[in-house]
Amino acid sequence: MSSKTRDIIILLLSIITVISVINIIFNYLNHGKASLTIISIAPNLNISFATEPLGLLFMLMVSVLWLITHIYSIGYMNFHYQKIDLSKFYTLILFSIFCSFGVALASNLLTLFVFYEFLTICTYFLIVFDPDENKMKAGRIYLTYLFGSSLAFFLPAIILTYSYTGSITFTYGGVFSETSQYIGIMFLLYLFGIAKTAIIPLHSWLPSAMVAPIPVSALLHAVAVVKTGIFCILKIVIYIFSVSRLNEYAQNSNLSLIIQIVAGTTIIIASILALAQNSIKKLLAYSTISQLSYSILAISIFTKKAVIAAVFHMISHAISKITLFFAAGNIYTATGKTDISEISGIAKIIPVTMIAFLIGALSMIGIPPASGFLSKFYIFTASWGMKNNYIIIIVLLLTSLISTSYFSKLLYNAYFEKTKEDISINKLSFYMQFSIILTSLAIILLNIFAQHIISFIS
Amino acid sequence: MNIFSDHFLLLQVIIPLISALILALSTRKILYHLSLLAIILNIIISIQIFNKSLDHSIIYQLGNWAAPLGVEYKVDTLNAIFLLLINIVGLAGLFYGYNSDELNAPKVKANIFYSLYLLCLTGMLGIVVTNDIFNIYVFLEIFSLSSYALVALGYSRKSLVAAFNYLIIGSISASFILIGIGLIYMITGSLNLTDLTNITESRSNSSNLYMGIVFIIVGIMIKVGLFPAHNWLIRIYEVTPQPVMFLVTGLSSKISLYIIIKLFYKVFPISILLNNEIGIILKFIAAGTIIIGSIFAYMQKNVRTILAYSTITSTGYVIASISINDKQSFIAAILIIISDSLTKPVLFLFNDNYKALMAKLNNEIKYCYIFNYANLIGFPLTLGFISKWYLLSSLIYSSAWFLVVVVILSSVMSFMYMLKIFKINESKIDNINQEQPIFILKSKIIITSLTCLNLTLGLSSNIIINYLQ
Repeated sequence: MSSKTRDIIILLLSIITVISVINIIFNYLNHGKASLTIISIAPNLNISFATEPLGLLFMLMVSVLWLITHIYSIGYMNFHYQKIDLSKFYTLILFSIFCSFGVALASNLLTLFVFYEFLTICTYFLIVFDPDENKMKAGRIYLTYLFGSSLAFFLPAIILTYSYTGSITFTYGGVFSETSQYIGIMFLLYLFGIAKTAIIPLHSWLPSAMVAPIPVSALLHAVAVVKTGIFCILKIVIYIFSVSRLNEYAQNSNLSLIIQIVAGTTIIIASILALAQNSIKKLLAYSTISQLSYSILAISIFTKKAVIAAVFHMISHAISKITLFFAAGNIYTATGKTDISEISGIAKIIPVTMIAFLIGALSMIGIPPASGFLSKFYIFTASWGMKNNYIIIIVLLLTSLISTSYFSKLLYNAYFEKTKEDISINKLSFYMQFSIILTSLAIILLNIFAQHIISFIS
Repeated sequence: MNIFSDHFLLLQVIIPLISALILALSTRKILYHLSLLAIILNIIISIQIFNKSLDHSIIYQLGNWAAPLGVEYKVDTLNAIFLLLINIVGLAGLFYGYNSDELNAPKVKANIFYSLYLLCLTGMLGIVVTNDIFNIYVFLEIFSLSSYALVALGYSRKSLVAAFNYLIIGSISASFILIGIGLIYMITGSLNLTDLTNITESRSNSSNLYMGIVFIIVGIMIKVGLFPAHNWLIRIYEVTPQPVMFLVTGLSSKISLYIIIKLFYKVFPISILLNNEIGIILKFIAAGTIIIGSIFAYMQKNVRTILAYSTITSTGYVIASISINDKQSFIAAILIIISDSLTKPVLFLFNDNYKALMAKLNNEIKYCYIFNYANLIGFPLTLGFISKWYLLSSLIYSSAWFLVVVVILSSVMSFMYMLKIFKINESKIDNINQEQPIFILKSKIIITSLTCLNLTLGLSSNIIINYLQ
């Protein structure tokens, strides 16, 4: 198959996917829940799917961003990987999308776990695509962290849940019939078991996975993989423990405090590490680590409002981060530069890209009109009047400060430094320009749709 | 047909036994096919037995002597599964070794190999079909003696030493088992297992009975290579010649485990385990075995040794689930045994012929390779995953928290040494003669068929579990 037909076929596929996801959402709104059991592998252990608002929203997010990323990668991959057969690459991306849909629609913990693990495998092969020594090493780190943590904590947590409650099916209101003393330890097992959330000390797979091509980093390491982690935590909080039960438990224990300390440390350390980076991709990776933990921080409040804030932050961060990755890819394609110190004065050469980068950075920091402001605002209001909320407030303020400084370092370099003479410039293709404009518009438009999203989840 | 179907249980033992005798006496090459034929026939019969045992357990009285006096063969669901397993893995192993280079070497008497192989299988099948504890001992000896000779087939100095060690250790363990059986006979006056169940029910607090069980356990534990008596087994695994690999790595320790499972779940009353310290000691030994197995596996540089330690770890899993002794752990033990005996030989095969098998970019072989390792670490949807699930949940039910932690850590370790094996295999130097198209084809058939079986069983473990309950 020629590369052109392949690109068109996948484009059509992704458009169809977006349409069918929207169709499913309308179906859900009109007719309610739908469910399907594929296979029963052992008594009470089924592979089955069901629709619920959070999963549908996640699916919509993944499918739309996949469509945009595909448009982007038509330009990017065909420019950088002309001599390599890319069919395997696209197959793996399709598999990864399939796995994250599986996670989104899973109706019990086993199904969730199965697709979670398959996603790790698929993305491992994307990281070691076109392998060299560096990539193999990154791949090994990736597998070790993700598999190791899920074997050590996630699977035992699922089995513990199954042993105590006799059920691992997602039910609104949770599967626990009473507030037992084990809830705290189980929640921590889940939190550390799902290493896709890149919580410290299980974070180092994310920066090392950045050896992958830009579209992979953008789609998988800003959207599908890390957001799957957050999504799993959200789903477990809502449908396994139930928010009210966790809240009740947290009243008499230090659970909230422990999670806030873990998440807060992650946010601050990752931001400081981001400050020290010179490579743009590494900077974005550390920024991802810190932003992901905002969602965890929001969840730790254990109220409905806070969970909604976490969901909204997840979406807004996905769109903003993908814009930043596209911008990094554009910089690399146009000038061949990957480091902050090398891109002085680049804004004059690729103005559109740098404006998109500016919008993405504003969203990361949390300045209006970008949607990052709104998501931080929601987290802030959710924490208002809660016990120990000073940790959240301090962390929010402090990291806004740090992220302002690392993004402004980059932006200052790009806008106000003198352009170097020896830069050779490639023309950016239409696809790359188009998709970055689309995502940066989406960052701003998300503010308008915020109310719809929130009402859909609640 | 009726004459045959009445004697199905006996035929399981008789067919390989008689073929073994014929092969031992004659050196004609054409007769070698008899060995394959015998096992294929055995598989067909064991499928029939499996079907029959779905309704009720099958009882066969040898020479029409009634049960407590005469020898009785009895097959229920547990035995039927083991019969199938032994026959299938046995066939795969024989097919793999059939007419291989090792057997065509000038020094080797090939007919003796086939004969011993079938004798070994006879012993294993006999242990499974019989319902008489002394008969179990006799068949255990048949199986052990022939496997000593088979291991020595390697003719290298190492394999002779290993075989000699095997002989010494095997004899020690056999005498322990014999003393145990003697003690039990002293108390109960019966050797029939069904009879034993009824009698021990009323005498479960007898200390001699207790001693007898302890002797049997110790004997079998030496035989399966549990911590602290594991070193000799590792050496065997390192030097086993290829034609016997399936038998040694896939079946030999599983059969001894079958004896323990049979005694604990089906024969002796549960109260024996729960009232005495046996359960605690078993837990301790299981934990030790799992820890030693996984740590040493990670420390090794030779893939065969890593896999050998990994086998010991899974033996430890089985002992851990036996020490719990409830329904869930029973299922866990059986599933672990099935998945391990289908996976390990294939992994050994892959290790020995890695370059030759991977030489041509052959995708289905690669998938099999990955799948088998996925099964080893318990990746979701494999049989290894289901068995680990059952093992962990039964451990959690009975609040054996220490073992829970040990099992979890060892599964992480198994993932680590899997990565290590991948790395070692990748850097392997090509030292195998690649001009063996028939051999490669044969290995491919074995690998794909065993892997497919493993995959189907993993996806439909529902059926096995319902069947066992």
